[in-house]
Amino acid sequence: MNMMSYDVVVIGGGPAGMAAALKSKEYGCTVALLERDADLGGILNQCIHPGFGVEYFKEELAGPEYAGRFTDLVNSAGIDVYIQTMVTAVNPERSVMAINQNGVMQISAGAVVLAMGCRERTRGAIMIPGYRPAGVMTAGIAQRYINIENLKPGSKAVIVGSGDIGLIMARRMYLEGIQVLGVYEIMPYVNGLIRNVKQCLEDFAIPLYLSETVIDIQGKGRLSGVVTARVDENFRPVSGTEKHIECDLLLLSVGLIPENDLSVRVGVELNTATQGPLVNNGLETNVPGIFACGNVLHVHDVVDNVTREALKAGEQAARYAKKTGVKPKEPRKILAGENIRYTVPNYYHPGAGEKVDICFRVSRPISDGYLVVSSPERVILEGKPRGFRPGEMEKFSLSPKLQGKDCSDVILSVRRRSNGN
Amino acid sequence: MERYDVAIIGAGIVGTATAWKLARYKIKTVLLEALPDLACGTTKANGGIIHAGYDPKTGTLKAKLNVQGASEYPVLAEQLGFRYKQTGSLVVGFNEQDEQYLKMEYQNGKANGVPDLKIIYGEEIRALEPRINPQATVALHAPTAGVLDPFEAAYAFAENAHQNGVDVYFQFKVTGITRKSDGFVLHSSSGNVEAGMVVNAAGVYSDVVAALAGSQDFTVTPRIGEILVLDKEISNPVRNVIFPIPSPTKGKGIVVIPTVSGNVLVSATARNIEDKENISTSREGLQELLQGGRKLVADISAGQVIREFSGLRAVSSAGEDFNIGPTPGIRGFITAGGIQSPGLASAPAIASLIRDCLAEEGLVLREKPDYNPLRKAGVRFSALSAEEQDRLIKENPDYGQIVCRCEYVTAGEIIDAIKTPLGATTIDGVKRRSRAGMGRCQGGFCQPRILAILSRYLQKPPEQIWLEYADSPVVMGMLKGGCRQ
Repeated sequence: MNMMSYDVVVIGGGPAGMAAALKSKEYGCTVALLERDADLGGILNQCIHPGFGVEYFKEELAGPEYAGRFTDLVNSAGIDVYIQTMVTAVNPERSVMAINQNGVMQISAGAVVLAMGCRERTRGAIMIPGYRPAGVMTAGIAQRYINIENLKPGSKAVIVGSGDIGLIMARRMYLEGIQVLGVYEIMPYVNGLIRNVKQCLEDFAIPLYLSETVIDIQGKGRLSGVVTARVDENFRPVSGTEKHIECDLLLLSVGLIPENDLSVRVGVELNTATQGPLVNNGLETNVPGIFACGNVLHVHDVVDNVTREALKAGEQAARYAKKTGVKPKEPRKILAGENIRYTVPNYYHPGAGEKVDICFRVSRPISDGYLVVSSPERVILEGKPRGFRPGEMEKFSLSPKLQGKDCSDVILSVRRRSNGN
Repeated sequence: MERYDVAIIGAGIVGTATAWKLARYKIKTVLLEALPDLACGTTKANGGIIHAGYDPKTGTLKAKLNVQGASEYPVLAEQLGFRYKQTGSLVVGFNEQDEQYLKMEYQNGKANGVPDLKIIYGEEIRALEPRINPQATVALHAPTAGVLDPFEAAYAFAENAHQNGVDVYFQFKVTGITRKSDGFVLHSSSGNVEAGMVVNAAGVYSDVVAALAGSQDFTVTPRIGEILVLDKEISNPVRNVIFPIPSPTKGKGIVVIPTVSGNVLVSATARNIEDKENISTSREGLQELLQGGRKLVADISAGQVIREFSGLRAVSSAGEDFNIGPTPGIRGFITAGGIQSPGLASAPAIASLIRDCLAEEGLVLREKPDYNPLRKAGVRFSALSAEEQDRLIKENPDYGQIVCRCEYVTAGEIIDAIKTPLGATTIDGVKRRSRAGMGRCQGGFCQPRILAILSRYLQKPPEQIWLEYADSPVVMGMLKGGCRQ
């Protein structure tokens, strides 16, 4: 067994892991970056569509290009990269067990950054009844078959769920000559980004059905068809609205779940709203010296935000490993109030003189609302009126001035201006 | 045409156990399976409970074979290298009427010869099962009950039979049976075999197979049962198989079952249907399972569900009991019909009974001197210590490459699953042998990789690799511009 030691060990070599590793390295740490796949880049490698890097690089890149830029930086930074290396366990004393084709490694780490990304929700998780034929798969698997393996997953497709991967795959399949019969979304609104609805569905005349879903899957060997139906306000199928659709491919784009198996086993507490770790404004989990960033923390819609978050985690992990962090005071809570599904972080340490960057998502679309930041005693700030959508991650910075002298818990809410939404 | 002493029709748990039982004798045996793999019917889709045997009515075949079979499994698991866990079981009651019922079950179990049964109350129940619904007041505890993965047991039986000389044919669907003076000819679209005697272990199709031989004695009605698979539980897992008080119409009811791999099953609904191949799930059924599960373990939630499936119980018109024995008027044709619960628990004993029936029909059984009763279990990488893992990877680097990241299954184990005799030829065959794809992401990461490994080792293009059944390709060929190397 190979015993090693690093200041910072980063688990996962996608965009989050690469940025965190680079930042830790910049702070003078020895860094190991552990990636289970054969290449760095994570899921970006199969995202061959454009739209990446607009914020961070100020230009529009394809996924592999975005990954490639960071891969080059990582490879020239003096970071020890271990590919095809799978972490099997982490313990609270930050000993990391990993395996690859050379054997088992035990790495003792000054700090650990969790950057394992997320996985797709499956048919099983959303309990679509019916048969279990071949031809039912997540949008991400279909994306891999098409973009990496050059294999055709089917010829006539229905997509259930309007997550971004599903929208992007609708266009991708169309371009590969696969007939896309429609996208069925159980909610009354789209889950993905508006730009993807326009560029991936509307531009190709692919129909989008809101408040409709797949209620039955047919076919004993290969998928032969699905039944769709409208749903009521409790998401129950409305009898009489059933439609039978002949198809041989059903793609699911019904949400992403942070991949926290390792984190839970080391004792990291999760936020039930995100399924990602509860963290403070240094992105540190409840287990000291273990940090989290990227989609393992909460699901992002734009990779540029992942990079920004991961740079912060890399910096904080380096400070922890080098013991240069300020000893924080008792943390204050950042709470999700009215119409807020979640916030990241969930705590902040007052008095550090730093702004606290907060990401949040609303729990439902609000066309005419405004952000309210308050403490239990008073309203700290009210934002300008505008629209909010669950599909778009929102950002807000709590400046030292706004934290105020009292440095109390902070509650974020979005209030409606009028009765309509 | 190949001639055998015995042909077994159906490679489910009964067929494979019978093949294993017969493999020790100097006879030529063949196991015929209509589907592309072992254990693809009822066997793959049940709760995997080895019932203690208190439930079947005393004096029935079910009672006798269940108790006998359950007592054999712990030893068989060792010899044949499959996982078996003696969890114990609880039948849970909530009131005095339930208590009366449990006392009757206790007496019935005693009469059946089930060891160590006990009626327990309140805190005793919670000590054994902290997750139990707090309203439970009384329970029948059967410490000898256990669980296994039924397909794993079937693979073990079949592989041991095969290594001791039993032939196995897949996709051999018997479409006709001709009776001859010295036995039978079994016809299929892929050829015929001749056999002196036949064992009909065709599950929900056992009535169809019997009819092909000329017996109209019984019909089989499929009774569909839906099952939920819950994610692995890291803290405070369910420990026992937990039953409700059975209802006259719903059989054993909805049961909460901890599996050998650390998942929990909620199993099963019960509804008679007509189509022998309808293994669909229904919205109502899935809701019924969640509600039923919560009556026993209150904190079960939809969020824990990672998969749903269903299977068919073979309900025979010949009666509630197992219908095992010679067929009147057809010498040498042994039927194993109506093998529903506790069929899995009884399987080793059913196999012994079938052997005895064959002997009574005139089959001469002499033991082989070179019979090997042992089968080595395959590598299960995730269960090894770090030192053992390190040693294994140095012997074979394929074990250092994790393919299924939810279950930590390595490329080495997947290759083993394919290369083992009677190995996997399908995605689901790999899944059931190695657990790759059984985790919470349900193959979302590993399916394309498993497809590639299957394609390489079977030397077939990806579009000819099936998910499970015949003609169930997961991909339809190359995209434009592709060319094969």
